[in-house]
Amino acid sequence: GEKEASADGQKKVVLHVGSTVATTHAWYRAAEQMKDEVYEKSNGSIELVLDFGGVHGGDREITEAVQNGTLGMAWAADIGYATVFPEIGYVNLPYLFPSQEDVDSTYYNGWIGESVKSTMEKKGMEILGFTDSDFRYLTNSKQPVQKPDDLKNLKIRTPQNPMYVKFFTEIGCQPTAMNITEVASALQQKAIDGQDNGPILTYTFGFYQFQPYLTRTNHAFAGAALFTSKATMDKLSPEQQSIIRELGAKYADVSLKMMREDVAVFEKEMADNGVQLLDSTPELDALFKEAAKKVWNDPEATKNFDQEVMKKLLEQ
Amino acid sequence: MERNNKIAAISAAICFLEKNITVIFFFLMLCLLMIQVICRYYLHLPLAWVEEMIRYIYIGVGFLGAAVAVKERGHIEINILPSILKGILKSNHKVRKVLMFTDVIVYIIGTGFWTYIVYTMTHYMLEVKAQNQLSVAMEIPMWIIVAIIVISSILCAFHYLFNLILIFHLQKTLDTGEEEVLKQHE
Amino acid sequence: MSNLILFLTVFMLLAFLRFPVPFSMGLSAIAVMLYSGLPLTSVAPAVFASLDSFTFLAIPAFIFAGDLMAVAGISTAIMNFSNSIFGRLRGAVGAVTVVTSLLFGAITGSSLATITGIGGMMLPEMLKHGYDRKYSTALISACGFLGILIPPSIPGIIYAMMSGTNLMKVWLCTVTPGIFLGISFILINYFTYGRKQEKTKENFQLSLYFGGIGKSFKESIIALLMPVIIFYGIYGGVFTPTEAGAVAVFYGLIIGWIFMPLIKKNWPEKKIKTLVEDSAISSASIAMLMVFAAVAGRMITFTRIPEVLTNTLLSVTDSQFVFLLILNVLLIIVGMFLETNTSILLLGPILIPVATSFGVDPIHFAAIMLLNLEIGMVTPPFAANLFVGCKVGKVTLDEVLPHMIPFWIACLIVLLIVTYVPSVVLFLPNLF
Ligand code: NA
Ligand code: NA
Repeated sequence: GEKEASADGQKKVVLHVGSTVATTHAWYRAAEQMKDEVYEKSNGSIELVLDFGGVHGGDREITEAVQNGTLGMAWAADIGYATVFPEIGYVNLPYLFPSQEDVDSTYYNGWIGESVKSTMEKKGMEILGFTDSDFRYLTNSKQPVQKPDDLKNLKIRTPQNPMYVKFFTEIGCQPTAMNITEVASALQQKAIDGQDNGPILTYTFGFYQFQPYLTRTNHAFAGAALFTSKATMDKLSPEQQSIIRELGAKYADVSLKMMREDVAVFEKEMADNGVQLLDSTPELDALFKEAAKKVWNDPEATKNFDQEVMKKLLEQ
Repeated sequence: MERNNKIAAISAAICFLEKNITVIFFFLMLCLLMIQVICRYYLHLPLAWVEEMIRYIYIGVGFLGAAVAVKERGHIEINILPSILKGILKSNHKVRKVLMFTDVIVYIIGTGFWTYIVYTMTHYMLEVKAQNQLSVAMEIPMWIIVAIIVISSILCAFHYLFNLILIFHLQKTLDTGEEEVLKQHE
Repeated sequence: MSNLILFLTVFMLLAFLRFPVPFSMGLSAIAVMLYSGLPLTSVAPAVFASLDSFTFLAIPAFIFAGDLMAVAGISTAIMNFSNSIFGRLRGAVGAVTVVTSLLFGAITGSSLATITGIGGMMLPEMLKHGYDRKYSTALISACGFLGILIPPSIPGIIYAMMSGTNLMKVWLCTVTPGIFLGISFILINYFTYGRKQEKTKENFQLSLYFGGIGKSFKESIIALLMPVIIFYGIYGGVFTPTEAGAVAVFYGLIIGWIFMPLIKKNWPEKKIKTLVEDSAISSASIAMLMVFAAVAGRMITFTRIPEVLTNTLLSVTDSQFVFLLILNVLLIIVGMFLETNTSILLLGPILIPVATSFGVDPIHFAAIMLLNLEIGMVTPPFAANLFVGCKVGKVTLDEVLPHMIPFWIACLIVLLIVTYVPSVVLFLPNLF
């Protein structure tokens, strides 16, 4: 009943919220709270329906669905929605953000976040709030990775991103791009040996069941956002719009705090389940940084990115 | 009559082409799968593009083969209608008459359904093209893969239309599924 | 609820008129989207994305591998081997039919290939040993689906993907029911035919018996190696199911088109091109099921049918016992009309979350669903296995049905055990 009216005469709308992550993920927990508060504040005129677990397909499909208004909003990693908007691919450049402080100051609250927002706006999208996705660590089923030789011929799943394919080829792996919703069965069937998500996704997607070795390589960082689109906002009254904007920003931040707490919890949970968690080594770091440098300076790998931003980044 | 024969010939020729392309795609797909196995276990080569190519060829096999199956009525059907009609009507002649009528309905619905799929897939193809989406490993434009679906859908719609014309021309149903049932009861 | 009713009504009506099942699914999904005011923008992306998946590739490879094995004489070799083991027992030919079907179906994963392959071979043997033609046809048809319950199987792959559960566990959960059914079919055969036969006059000689097994093993070793490669490859983690399919295809090609003609002077009866053509078209028709099941899946998610169905079923009962009973009735009815893979694609997204909310383990549910749907292959009105069996046995459907009764009863008993004694099902998957 999309067309029923709520108590105070506002037009009642049902907004589907899509995401690929599982219901154990902080995004889902935050979205559940958001759903209740949105319903309450809008006097029942906005109902959020949470379609998590990839029921609407991978990040590319979900982002397209938000863009054309099929889905009301979505939580997705920047690396996911960048498949539809390759201009913003620079946010995932290896070693762009060395620490969490850098993420907060230059990305979420800084100039990089602003340029992501403005690019998205031109495509009819509206970012309600930034949140974390994950560190990029390396997990695999073959052996503990501590030196460059351990990486040789590991078949690694990468996000659907040519830059990562290049990066992993540089360090000696066999990269294969696939949707995150297919990774668990690929790991279980041994179609791939490993993947490069951190504790949050490795735990909530259940990848750790097939991945006894994790190395904290931290070769890149993936941020994320809760976003909607102009198509959806236009269906709402001004009051409803401001509720979505206010609570979207609030709960993106709620999920961010939850996730940063989850890191330690999930790492411990994985360790208890027999996953060997290792720190990176100077040898390994050197190899990764060398490969990163090549990616940064390869015009072919960065050709689809916003060139103005790219120029600014290279100057720094 | 003359024109109908021409239509039958055109539809058969298109089907022949589709079938051969599907067979080639299918065989190519199996060969690439084998190459993937060999490269992975013996040569240890990174072959992300092979996997991607297999997936896209499979899309071609699926949709082009679907067009062939429309022409040959090879799609999965629930074939209980002939037995039921046989039980009610007793006479095989009457059963065939009713089946001809239901088939005309099916072909009209089929033509309309695939015309809609053509419309919506074309729309989607243009959207993907405007966004400049590229495949990850081979970096081919994604809209080309959607275009395979568009072309196959056009063929599906055509075959339904051809079948509709043919059924009026031949004055009998085109498949042989019900003949089994009718013979069994004779 | 009105969405679900509209969806099922339009679907059943179209399918009843003999509009292809996948298109009926797509069209009824689009009808519901229009009816409930949903935008149709999700149709095209779903159509495109549904086949872009690496796991679905196993399906065409195994379809082709199954056809190849029947043509390449691998099925005959497997029969000779089991005959050397069971040939002495009373009712042996019937028992061999059961075991061979199980083994053959286990590898090919196709009921129809099993019935045509094994039926064509075993029926003359059974007639020679005095079996009734109608009864033999019933036995061959009933055995068609046994192998689907033994891994690897395509319905298992589809269920695992649909539910996000572990594929190996899904495959293993139907093994015990499959073996139970195999044993009960052998018992049925013994009580209807074996008992009436005279005991063999030859004295049992251990050395002769094992000598016979050894001899037939030697003759069929090339053929028997194929299942070994596939089973070892998949279970040992050497290759993925998709790659195993490709390996099986090439092994079949080498045996059928190089080894057999050169060594045994035995050429396959069918041309490769015809085989590829048939497999390509069957793969395409199954691919369409997946495409339009994805479209229906989007509609089902947007209209929140699982939520509605859960609430409706919950309002009828909150007992797991009664729910499982309702579920079995529902699945048997669906299985009567629909093919296995279609049913999983169509009902999986609706029923799996409902079952989970009733506290049913998704692996246990897999066994219930797969067994129910396979039994549906031998229950009219839509009984693909029986139709094909009748064709092979050259008898009519109504002549076979009375002989099916004991097999149906056996199926029902095993189904009840599977439904209400989950430990029987979960024992094997839990070893992993
Ligand atoms: Na099987
Ligand atoms: Na049936």
